[in-house]
Amino acid sequence: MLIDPHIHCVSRTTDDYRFMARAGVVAVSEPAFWAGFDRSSPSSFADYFHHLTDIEPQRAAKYGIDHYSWLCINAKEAENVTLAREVIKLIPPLLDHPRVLGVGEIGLNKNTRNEITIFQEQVDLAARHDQLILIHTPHLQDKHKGTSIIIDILKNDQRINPERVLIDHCEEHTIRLAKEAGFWCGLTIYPITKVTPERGVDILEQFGPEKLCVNSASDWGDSGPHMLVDTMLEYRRRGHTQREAREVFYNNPCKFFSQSGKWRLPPL
Amino acid sequence: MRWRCLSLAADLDRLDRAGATDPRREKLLKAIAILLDQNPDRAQRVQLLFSDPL
Repeated sequence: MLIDPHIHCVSRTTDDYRFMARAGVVAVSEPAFWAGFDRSSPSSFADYFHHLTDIEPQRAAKYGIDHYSWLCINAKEAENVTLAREVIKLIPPLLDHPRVLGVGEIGLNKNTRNEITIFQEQVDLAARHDQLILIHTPHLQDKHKGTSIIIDILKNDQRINPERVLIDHCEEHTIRLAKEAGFWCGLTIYPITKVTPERGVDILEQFGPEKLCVNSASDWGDSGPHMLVDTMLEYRRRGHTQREAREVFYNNPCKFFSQSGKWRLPPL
Repeated sequence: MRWRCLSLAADLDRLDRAGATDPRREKLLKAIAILLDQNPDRAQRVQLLFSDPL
């Protein structure tokens, strides 16, 4: 059995759900993210949050997949501070929803002043409501600097327990920063950008599987739920046992998510 | 690794044929030099080469 701890199901087809079910994916978590375009009003986000929390779990359930979500305004649209603050106001009443695991994926995109402002306000939101946090780190040349800024902000907030934060999209040059500060880490496996299955397993072997979750982060771009499965197969191909694979691809996300008090699947 | 090496070789040939003078090419050549040195952590060093300074 597998868990995809980060996938944007609203952007995926029923074929993807069918593939995941056949491959043994039994649960997913879906962070709120950028839809490929900037939304024009807070009401667009209200509809999106309804989609994430109420509609998508029903679609996933048809394939035997347990669906959970995270709420926030993503870093890219956080550039519009006025809109972002209106969207943040929508979130607190939804945090008690039985399928909402926490606040995410919050973080930075281009490491701008506005993005940092809204990131700090959403960290504060999570802290005030005792929520788990899922962090998006920037891509490409912005990643190392952005990850450093994010970790500094989190470490300087005494209310934040690193055990309750997962820093996602870690790569070779950023995972040490996150692990040494005590955070959970996410590896995102993509077919062309980010980390390949082979590099993902290299990182697992070099840094160890503890507090590390592997995901596909499948969205509306060139990505896919098969990347999670391919990484598990590469891990097994290198001689890691089924038990070790279960720890990485099932138990680790269970352990992190179960801190929410809402995640229903126990570790195996 | 053979196919990735060939793919990179073909990429560089294609840039030559295009007569490209893209400044990113210099950084790419520095990255290739990292691949060829005998020191560890090549992936991390190439990542940092392609990263904005802190």
